[in-house]
Amino acid sequence: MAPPLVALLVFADPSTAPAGSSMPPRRHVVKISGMAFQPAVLQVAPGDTVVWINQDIVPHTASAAGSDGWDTGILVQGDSSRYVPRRSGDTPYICRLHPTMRGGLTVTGRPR
Amino acid sequence: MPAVTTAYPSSPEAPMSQSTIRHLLAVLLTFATSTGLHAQAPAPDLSDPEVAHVAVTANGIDVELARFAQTRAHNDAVRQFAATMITDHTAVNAQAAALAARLGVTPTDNAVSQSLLAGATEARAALEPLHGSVFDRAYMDREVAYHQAVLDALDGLLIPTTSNPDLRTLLVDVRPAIAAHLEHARQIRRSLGSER
Repeated sequence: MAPPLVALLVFADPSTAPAGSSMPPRRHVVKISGMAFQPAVLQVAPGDTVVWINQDIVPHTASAAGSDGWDTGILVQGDSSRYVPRRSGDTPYICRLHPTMRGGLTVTGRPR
Repeated sequence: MPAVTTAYPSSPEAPMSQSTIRHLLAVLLTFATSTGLHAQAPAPDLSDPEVAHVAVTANGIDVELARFAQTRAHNDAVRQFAATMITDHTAVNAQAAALAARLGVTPTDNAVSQSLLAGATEARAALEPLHGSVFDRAYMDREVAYHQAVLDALDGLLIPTTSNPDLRTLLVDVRPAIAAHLEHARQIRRSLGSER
């Protein structure tokens, strides 16, 4: 019996798409809420867009550690900032104002 | 209602001893019959306007001490911490003021707020003669103890006794920030070592 269509949609993995196929860029949202990045670790493809949205009362940043150097700047409640990674790699990041807040961005796969 | 007593040390050599922390917690928790920890104590009788006043006072105290710390701190991480305290506690108080205005509530002074203010005055006096790395350690000791006490007060007094759902939500929303401040303060304090 053929699996239900909905199951095919949920479990279709873009990384298994045939070579030469062109996947449109995706938009990923990281909520900053309760003094945490949600999700704390995010995996995206080069060319995808990552959007951080601060829902906390206090200001935050999402700031790359290491040589990548990307930084959202200070986001007050309701602010958002986006970043489009172009190179593969793992980048840990923090909130510069609250260094106990940590996140990770993994860029992997075929560019979109 | 129990007598209001000082909650902070007067000696620069002991900016926030364990006994002082316990004392501050005792002052706060004595009001919290809902915790069951002091069943023999008089009822706390903290109204929502009084809870709002305690919250605004607690934020304001940390802003004022952070402003002082910015003029005195030696270590970059300590100065940055103080800047964050100003930013964060100011933001929280702005939300509290907006909420009070929306609800038509005027925060009302009370014994807990007075105790906090008396303690803040003593804390400032204890830090006043200190400079350099000695000041940094004493200030961070105080911030660790203060945020722990505020966290305990949120859990043991303020959140349980607040009846207004919007005010309670604000307090619940603030709690993670206080917990993060506490952890951040502990990390900085550890990095400063134990020498005086």
